[in-house]
Amino acid sequence: MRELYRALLSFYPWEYRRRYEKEMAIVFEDLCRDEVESMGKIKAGFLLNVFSDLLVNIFKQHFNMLKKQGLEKYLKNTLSFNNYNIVGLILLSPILILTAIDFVSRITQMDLAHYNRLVYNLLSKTFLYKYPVLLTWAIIFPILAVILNLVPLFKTKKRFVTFAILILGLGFIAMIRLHDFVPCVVHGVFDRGVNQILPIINYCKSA
Amino acid sequence: MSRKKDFSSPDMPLTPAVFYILLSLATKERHGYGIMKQVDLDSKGKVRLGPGTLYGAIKRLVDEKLVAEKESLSDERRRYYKLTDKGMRIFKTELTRFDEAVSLAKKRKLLESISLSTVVFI
Repeated sequence: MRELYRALLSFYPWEYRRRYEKEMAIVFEDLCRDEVESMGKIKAGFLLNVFSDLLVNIFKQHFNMLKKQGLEKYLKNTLSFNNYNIVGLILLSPILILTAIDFVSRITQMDLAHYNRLVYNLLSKTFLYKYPVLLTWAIIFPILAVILNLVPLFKTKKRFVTFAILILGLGFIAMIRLHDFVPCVVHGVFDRGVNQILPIINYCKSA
Repeated sequence: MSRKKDFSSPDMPLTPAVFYILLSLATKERHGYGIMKQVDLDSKGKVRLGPGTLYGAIKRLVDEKLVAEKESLSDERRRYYKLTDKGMRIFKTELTRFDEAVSLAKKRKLLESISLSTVVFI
């Protein structure tokens, strides 16, 4: 539990962490010790209170930094974004938003395996799903985002955001590439058995 | 309207968390955990600060120079906090405000009809 608390502390803005991270970890340990002494064990309610208090305050501190520094300085100084990261994130934003809409709509229909027909029908009538536009945000933008973020990978020392964008971009490219391939292979294996994997892969590739 | 107090205008009331933190530091300097325990004691358990809320408030009070940080000689892992002159001035302004409100309530015989334990900070 202490390790989880310490890990969450790392989500505070750097300036805040530098000043209070160690002390907050010590106070958390003191609170845990008190809880064990008074209750015999650490109860779920206690953890819920402490962790929710922490998460709310992480957001508050980020919001305060955003208000104090403005968006540009906040992204660059607090979150260590560079220009490549910002452009990469802008390029990934359409597919990020549409993936989120797709995911939420699947949850609302309580069937994660199939897309939500109502949402899909609505979206497919918009310009986003016209072929050249679809190709741009679903394939070209993620590829550009990945290529752009290869530059700061070798140029800067703070690489956390760059790695995150690279993984996100490559993940989207893989998702698009394997969108129909993976479900096809899974279905084939269930239907025909794992010993038929090679013909199944060949079939799914051509399908 | 923002609920956060602008400490440059001492007429605005303090939030309960900030009031109890200043109250705990008014008599002696304390470390974070000490402040937390004292606030719990002083408020009879009504104001419970988690570490996130406590250090968020401390940061703001330190930035506004109401509270000063001090390294501990006995325990290098902990830092002690003490009230500055500005912090004491603002705390006393708040106490005066409470005192005036209570005097007024007594004069109007309002305190006889309500229990003091139900008085909520405004």
